[in-house]
Amino acid sequence: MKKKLVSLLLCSALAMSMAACSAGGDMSAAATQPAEEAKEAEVEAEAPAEEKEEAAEEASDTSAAGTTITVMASQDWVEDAEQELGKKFEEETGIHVDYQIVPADQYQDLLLTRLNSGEGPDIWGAQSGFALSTTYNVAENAVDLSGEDWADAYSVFSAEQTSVDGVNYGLTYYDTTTDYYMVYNKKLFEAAGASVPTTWEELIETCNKLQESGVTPIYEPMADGWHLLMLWTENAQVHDKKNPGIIDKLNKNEATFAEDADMKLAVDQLKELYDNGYFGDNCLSDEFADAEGYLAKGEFAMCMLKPGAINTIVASDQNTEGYTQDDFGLFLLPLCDNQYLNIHPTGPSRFIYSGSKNIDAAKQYLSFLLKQENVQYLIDEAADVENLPVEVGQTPEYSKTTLDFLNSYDDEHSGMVLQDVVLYYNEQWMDINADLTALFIGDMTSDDVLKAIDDRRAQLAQAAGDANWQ
Amino acid sequence: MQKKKVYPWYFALVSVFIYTLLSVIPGILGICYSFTDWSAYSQYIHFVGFKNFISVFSGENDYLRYISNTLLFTFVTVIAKTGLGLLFAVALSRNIKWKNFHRGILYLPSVLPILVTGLVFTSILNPKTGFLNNFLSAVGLDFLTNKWLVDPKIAFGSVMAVDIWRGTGYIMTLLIAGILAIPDIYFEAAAIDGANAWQRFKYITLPMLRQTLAVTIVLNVIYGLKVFDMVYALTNGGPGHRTEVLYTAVYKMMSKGLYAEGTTISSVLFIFMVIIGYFMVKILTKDEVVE
Repeated sequence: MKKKLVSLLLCSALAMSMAACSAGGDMSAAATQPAEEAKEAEVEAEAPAEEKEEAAEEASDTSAAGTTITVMASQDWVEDAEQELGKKFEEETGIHVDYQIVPADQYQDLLLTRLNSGEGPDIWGAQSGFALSTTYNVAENAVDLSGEDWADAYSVFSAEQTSVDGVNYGLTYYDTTTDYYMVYNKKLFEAAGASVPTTWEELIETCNKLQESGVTPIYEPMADGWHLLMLWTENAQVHDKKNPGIIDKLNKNEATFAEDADMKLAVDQLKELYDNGYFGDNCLSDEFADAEGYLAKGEFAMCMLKPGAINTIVASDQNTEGYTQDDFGLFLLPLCDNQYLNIHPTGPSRFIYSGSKNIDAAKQYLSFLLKQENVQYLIDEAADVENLPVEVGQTPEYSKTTLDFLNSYDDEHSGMVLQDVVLYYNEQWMDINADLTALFIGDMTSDDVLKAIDDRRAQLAQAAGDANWQ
Repeated sequence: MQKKKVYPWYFALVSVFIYTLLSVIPGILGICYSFTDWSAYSQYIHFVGFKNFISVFSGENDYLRYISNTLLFTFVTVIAKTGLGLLFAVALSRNIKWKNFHRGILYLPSVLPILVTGLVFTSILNPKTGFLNNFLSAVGLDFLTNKWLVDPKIAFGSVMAVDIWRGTGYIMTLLIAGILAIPDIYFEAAAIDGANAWQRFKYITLPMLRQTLAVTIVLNVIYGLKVFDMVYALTNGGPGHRTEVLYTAVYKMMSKGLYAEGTTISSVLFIFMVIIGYFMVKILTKDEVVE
């Protein structure tokens, strides 16, 4: 009996230590933010810009020099040109910038774990938009940046997306002046006798012709776990146009994704693209970082990318066919026959962690990035960046292709992307991507995918105490 | 043993106090939180009874699949690692050429951090650019090439195979130590009596190794039930949710700020570990001499 008891106790002790691992983190740390830093941030926000500048200069001359600030971001959110600017920043201020770049499929979980355990990096990156207050609890985890010297130069639309309750917590440091569209290879289209599709039927016809010509129609990098969903949500403006008021109903919990026949159609069409082999054999392992290379080689005919990516494709070492910028064009993926331009002012943004010991140095870094010459440097050096959502006297580098494409859509034929207007949606971005993959491999149906979105929305809304879900 | 030779209970007091403070209390708190709606989205915590547990076992959220994946991973890797470890241990405890070199090679994978192993194998097993498929194609074995980590039929098998590759050497090392501790006199006597190699293994090596095997199996089972980093690094639960295990689900819940759901899954694992661990220790040590 005694031996049995000892065995049971030993097993319990081992298992208990396991349970402690998952529950023992300092979860309260995020809720009880260090009062000193918060006060400091408030005082600074109220101080006049000139005083703040002086203070920042003093800090750079004395206390901040020799410190290291960490910038944590997802893969592809930090341009090489920014890292060069980081070196220049260190030369000027003595503050070293340590970039912690995390694979895209692991980034959000890792960041949230660090924030929720009170161990956030000095500057953290996150997609702006609704999720800031729910997923990232930005009012607790970030410093008020409303009074920074660059606040007036910052795009009003972007500021709206990095603000919560009228307080701006972030800086969108990403080219959100354009969005992701289908970048296609005109030469491959011509060779296959394919035309730019404007309806779903035409898209299928185009893909079939490309396939018959020996070219894989669409490069869809699913390994990163974030890109696939964009094929739908960047083209989901059509739902609101066809069914006006649906967004409002979704946000009031008066409608669900699962009940919407048009959304089911969009998800089914995605599956059809996969089932027809238009994404190629290796799409589950394909990575976003390789997209431009594969388009440069002419192995794939199109991919959903930022227009600035055309510059990167042309400049790629893998451009053995000698493609020029004129060989690439842009079009909207006609999922559910969508022909409404996607407007998407949200994007990867920078936030200063409220628990950071280097708040002043981090603020200095953001101010440094937004100096006119540094903004221009990024636009000039980063091939895929045509502009930034700030106005500091820089000269944008929009190509003729981009301008012609954007100018072909008026306001009536434009709309905000789904993740910018539907509550509790962007928060589950990676989950929906995983569900879509599960749909492709036969583990879920389109109804399951849409129901899972509704269930997670309800779970998040209830956790947030949203009255519409009580 | 004379009773007066047993150390007094207060010798363990400091250890018990620290263990209670750092492990037992947080563990109990974790279980208590399973009965609440604790999350990052609200400052208030409410008692919700068994709601979270019902959600786990309702079958609506794929948790049952995560539980079965975890148990399958544990079962397969324990059997394979112990079996292969024993095989190598028996082979390498004999006087063979370059014995220590072979031991070193087999032990080497265990030294590498799991995340590094995972990242290296992600590259090796890439269907298009990975070493394995390119090697198989180069030697004319194209029919053996596979989408190792993304084909839903074999992805979980690939994860288990990498884990077996990594863990076998460690088990082998423990078992070699156990085999070398068996006095030669038994083997010599058996040889004189005409016992063949299989009989010596069955009637001497295996029974004498029982304690070592019990320790390695229990350690392996615990490792298997709490597996996280290998799955996280290789597939992150994909494709879809095909290779998701309990601890990747806990991690994702916690990182989403849904702490109560996370601790609930963790508590379920706690129950599994107590039940499985108790019976395993009982079965594997049933002939142990009690002093």
